[in-house]
Amino acid sequence: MNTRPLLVLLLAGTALAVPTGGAVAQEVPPGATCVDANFFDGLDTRHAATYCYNATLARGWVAQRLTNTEATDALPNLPRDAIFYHAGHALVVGPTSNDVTAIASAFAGPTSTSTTYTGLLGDPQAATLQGPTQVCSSSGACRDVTMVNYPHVTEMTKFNLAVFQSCESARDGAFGYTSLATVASQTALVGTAIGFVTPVAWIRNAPGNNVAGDAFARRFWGDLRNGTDYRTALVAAVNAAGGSTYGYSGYRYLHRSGAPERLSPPSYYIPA
Amino acid sequence: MTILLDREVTLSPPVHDESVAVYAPPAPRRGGGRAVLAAVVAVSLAAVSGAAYLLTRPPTPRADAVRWELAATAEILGVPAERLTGASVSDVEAPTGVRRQVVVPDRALLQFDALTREMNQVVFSDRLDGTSGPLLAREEALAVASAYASGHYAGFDSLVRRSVRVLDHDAFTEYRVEWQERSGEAWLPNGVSVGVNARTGTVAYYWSARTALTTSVTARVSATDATRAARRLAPHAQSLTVPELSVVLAGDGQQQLVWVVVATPPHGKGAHVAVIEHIWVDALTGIARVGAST
Repeated sequence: MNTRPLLVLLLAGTALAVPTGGAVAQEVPPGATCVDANFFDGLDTRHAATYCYNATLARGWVAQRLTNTEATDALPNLPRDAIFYHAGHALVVGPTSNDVTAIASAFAGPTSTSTTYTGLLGDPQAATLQGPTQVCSSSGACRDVTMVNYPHVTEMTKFNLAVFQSCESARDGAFGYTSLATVASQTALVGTAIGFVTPVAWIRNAPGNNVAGDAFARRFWGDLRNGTDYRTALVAAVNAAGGSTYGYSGYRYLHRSGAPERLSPPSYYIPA
Repeated sequence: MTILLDREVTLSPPVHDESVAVYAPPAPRRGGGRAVLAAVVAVSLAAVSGAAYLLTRPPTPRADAVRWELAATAEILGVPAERLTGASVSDVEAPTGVRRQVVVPDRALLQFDALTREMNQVVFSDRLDGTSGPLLAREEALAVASAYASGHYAGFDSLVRRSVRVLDHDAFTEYRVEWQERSGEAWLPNGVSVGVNARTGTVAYYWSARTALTTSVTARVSATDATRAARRLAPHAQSLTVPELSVVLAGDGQQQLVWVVVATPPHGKGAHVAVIEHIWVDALTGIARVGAST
């Protein structure tokens, strides 16, 4: 499904109104899209989007939460948004289990029995990786699904911040693909992109329990809400999540010089 | 001397629990005459009752008294307290309890145990960069990390160094050194992590956890039986790690002694979702479940 023409039309209108050269404050606050989900295999990242929502709202952003939705629900916000946060599964590809790159952020769909996994695509080269596939855990829980990916990360022009709290979301190179975070930073020129080179874990079926993934999300967005800069909040969140125990010490912080480093003031970012 | 605090943030009503609250200090009292009068009245009452009268109200704080969190912050940062202009103080919930957090903008984030006042974390905001230049030698980094950790964690000598990792975060590279408490075979949820900036040789951050044990640390289930239980739960796993005995934090303050076995699923073809499972085999009952997953 090719939504690129529609995206180009939507972006054109806003591009004309936004000057270039660093943080760009707006009379109408820019938007933040915060995503979490409860996946069929028991990965439950709910509350993460709410932490993001509360923080961005408190700092003057227009915010929305997407929980258990399709990827297409995030697409209409691209022209308005300057923050994207996804907590959940990533679609990965690579030659072995230890050598994979995340090429899309996965969405759980509105129902627990959904057989279509939609994703927001990073590396455009991975656009052909769609269609029927099977998603399995080592416990034997499998589901036949159809994967549909939509261009998204490459369309993050003028984004201030993109955070991909998912496995290998910043690990490049498997089969020659580029990760979500790297595409956000180098192609979309996002001000700050954050991802992980390692698998990152959540406590199973325990949303909001302030351990592992939930602790990361709670601490990161809580500190941003209080005015802490992105980098400091990230380090504190990694420690709160247990460091290397659940994979969070393997982060990458891709920051463009001159880009915003805090949620306030709400602003787009366009590199000079 | 006045410590300027950050302005209060006007927060929208949270939908779910919000872990951070902005601390509002009580207004300091003024007027030495009133304090004297109160003391006279109290003494008089004590005399009338004929019994010792215990004044239970805390002493009136001096208007210029420095809050303990800020005093401790100033000491750790090596600056006079009056230079902490713009610092904010709040309470945050950590998995091991409430922490008092101090943020000095562009300088540091610190956390203290709200009850014991032990410093649990410091992140030096101005030491999280450096993308060029040679990396510090491993032994030098270990020396820096060990010196800092031993100087800030009481009982550091009882910890076991568990890992040393070189981590390239793009913005900066660090040596992350983790020490953890061990009781027999069991790893406990107490320990220290120090990040040393691999290019500047400075401590980028320090983090510690200290919590009372609420579970036994003696396993009744063997590692071999734990492997079998994990295999039964994850029959399709491509690989299982060697079981490791640990006291894990399961959420809501709950501790559990488990054998941790990490199960890697079969490699998927094409684009797929990789679900790596941390299987927790209860070391007392032998019951296995997926405790965490990616």
